[in-house]
Amino acid sequence: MEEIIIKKQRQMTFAETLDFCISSIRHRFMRSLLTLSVVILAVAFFMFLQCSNIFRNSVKEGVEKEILENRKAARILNMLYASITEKDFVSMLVDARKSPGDFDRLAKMLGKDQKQMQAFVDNAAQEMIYLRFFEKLPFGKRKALFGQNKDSAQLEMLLKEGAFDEFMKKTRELGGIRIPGGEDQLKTYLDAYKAYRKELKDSFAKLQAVRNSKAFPARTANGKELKERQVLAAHLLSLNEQKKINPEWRDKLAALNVFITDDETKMIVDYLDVQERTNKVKTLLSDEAYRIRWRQVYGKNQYSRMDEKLAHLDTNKTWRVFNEAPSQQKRKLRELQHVIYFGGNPDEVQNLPDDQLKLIPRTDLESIRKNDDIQKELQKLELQLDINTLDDAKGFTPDQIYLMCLSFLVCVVGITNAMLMSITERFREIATLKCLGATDSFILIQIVLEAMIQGVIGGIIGLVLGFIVALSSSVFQVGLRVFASFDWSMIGLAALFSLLAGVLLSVLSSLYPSAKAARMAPMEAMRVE
Amino acid sequence: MPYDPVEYAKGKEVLVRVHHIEKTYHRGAEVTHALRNISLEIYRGEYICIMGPSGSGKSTLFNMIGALDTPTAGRIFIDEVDMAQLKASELAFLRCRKISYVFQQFNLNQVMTALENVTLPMIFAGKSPEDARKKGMRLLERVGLEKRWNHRPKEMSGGQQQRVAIARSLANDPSLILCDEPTANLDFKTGKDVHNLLYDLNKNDGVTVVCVTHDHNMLTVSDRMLWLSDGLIDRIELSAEVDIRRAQIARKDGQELKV
Repeated sequence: MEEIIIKKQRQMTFAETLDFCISSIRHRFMRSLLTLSVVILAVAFFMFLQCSNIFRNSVKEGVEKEILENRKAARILNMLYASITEKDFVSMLVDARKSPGDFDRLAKMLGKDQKQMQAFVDNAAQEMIYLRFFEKLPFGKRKALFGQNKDSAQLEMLLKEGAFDEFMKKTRELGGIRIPGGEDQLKTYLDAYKAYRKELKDSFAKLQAVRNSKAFPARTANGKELKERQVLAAHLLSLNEQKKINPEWRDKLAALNVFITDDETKMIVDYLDVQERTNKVKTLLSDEAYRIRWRQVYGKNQYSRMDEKLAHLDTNKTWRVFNEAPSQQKRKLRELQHVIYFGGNPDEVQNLPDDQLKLIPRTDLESIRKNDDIQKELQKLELQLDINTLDDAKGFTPDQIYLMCLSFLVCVVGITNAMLMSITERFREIATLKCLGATDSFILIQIVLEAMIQGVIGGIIGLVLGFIVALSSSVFQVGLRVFASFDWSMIGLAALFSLLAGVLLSVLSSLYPSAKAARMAPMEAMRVE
Repeated sequence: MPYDPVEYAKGKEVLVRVHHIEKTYHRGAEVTHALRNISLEIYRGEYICIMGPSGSGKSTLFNMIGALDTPTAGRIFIDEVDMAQLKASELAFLRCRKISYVFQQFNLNQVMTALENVTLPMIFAGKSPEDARKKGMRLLERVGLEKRWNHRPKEMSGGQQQRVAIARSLANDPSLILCDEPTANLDFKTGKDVHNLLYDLNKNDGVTVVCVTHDHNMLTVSDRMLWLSDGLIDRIELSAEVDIRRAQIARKDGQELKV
């Protein structure tokens, strides 16, 4: 009879353990799938929130740029030739912070270097922030704080002796008022406010000087007198063919320290072109005589919106109506078309003989409609994404961070629970393994490894799923703009974070129950259930 | 020939020595004494049955002998080695190669095939998968299940599952097989098969068998019987003696003794 010699049980090699784990997952596929799906869902949820926030932020940035670019032509025209108020000038400065072309142009015009200009526009933005904040206060509170004062007078009021302390006292008494940036910032700002106001006044005077110089003749080539606002437009429009600024005009502008590139000229010309045509159509459509005819032709269909009217003009029905309409109505419709398609004068149609009255195939009606569409979409997005040119914040807002933390918590609870359950119900099996000679460390390593494998697989599937859902929901919300401003590095970071969360949580939450199971005497473990 | 401990121990080697063990369970305020001061010696190569009504502490004693649970007081020696002194990995070694278990519930791994179940202890012991498979098949052949090697426990009857469990218990040629009511979940015929298998192992391979049971049919194959009642040893009897008594009872009734 052999003697019993007790030695230490050998440790399983890593390869053997891994092999055991994989076969365990494979054999128990359905059960693993359940745990896996919890991991997938948790990670997907986490990834989804991160990704949609990233998308939202980058889309917001992109749309903001787009809006600024889209309105660039209008801004240049305003700067050069519109009679604008001081308040408009401040918003122009605020916009310039995020539009490099505008920034440089204004800096040159006002004779400032980059640094001075930056300080100037930052001051302007700060003023706007405060004024908007005051404006949004409830009426009663605003009245108590500022009396009848409005706009910049409110800030100037605070400059008076003792007014600031009085203001702060009242603010505290009223309660519920949180000054943006805090009390100290407002105080510091007010110290430099007087200098800024003076600078602003000087700059505004410079801008007005450009406008008042009347460097551009007030008559067009055919001798028609133009309104002040239209002068530059008319001159620029005369460049319609080459879309390049005339050297003569360029010199005149350069003398006033205003520089416009060829690209910008083209932009302005296109903008004015569309603007002109749109205005003509609008005038025509607002004509009472025409509106009566419109009703005669189209019955009760009242199209209030520009694009609807245009769209209607383009349908087959219009062609039919046109062909069937009496000559008088034909003439009116033709007029409309003529104006829309060619930006022509309705008078020209008046003199056309009847046999030449026919609808002309659509040509650049597109440009009007496209412009209209872009404007509308941008306006919608501006509201939807809550775009605020004053907002300098980069990265996530506190709300977004809060939501992400919450989703992380969901991740923690979900995964921990799933792991606890799946291990606890395997206590009996673990006890049996121990009876057969499995060491404690083998059991621990095996279960943790299994959890890790599940975490990795679930994590990868989950983050792909979360990404796809976030992407499609963003596409649904803002269209293909999402792809224009894709921030891969941020998404990579989010993916890494989600994967890490999935794996680490799986491992950590499996550690406790498996350690407990491994250390228990086999019979104790079998009794649990 | 009544049981005489001194006479019986002559020429026999002690394999398991149970030394004044006690086990108490606490369930809230209630204290249950599962075992009270039990001392016992199990000899190498013998077949001992532990009998008794339910709640008498049979299974608890089984767990103590098998080092599956720790006693509240007292000691257990296997081959004169104190179980309490062993480290976790040494206990694992012991469970892997020297002691093996057959449970009432079979405790097979539900997701593994019969062969995988049988080879598992050999993998733990470090045998190469190839050798483990060969030996596993040999063991399955011995319990008559070589054709069902690729079946999962769910696809087998209770008797077959228990035979797989016995094949598994033989994987690393243990010195001691502990059975916890191996036939309780089986019908009479399959139970008989299991008895025969255990008897065969005991007599031909010299394996020590400790069997906790209710089943009176087991008495015929065992050497000794230990009667437990209320956590105490009631009496120890020799099977041969019981057999004689049974025969006498049978004769009184005028019937032939069937063995």
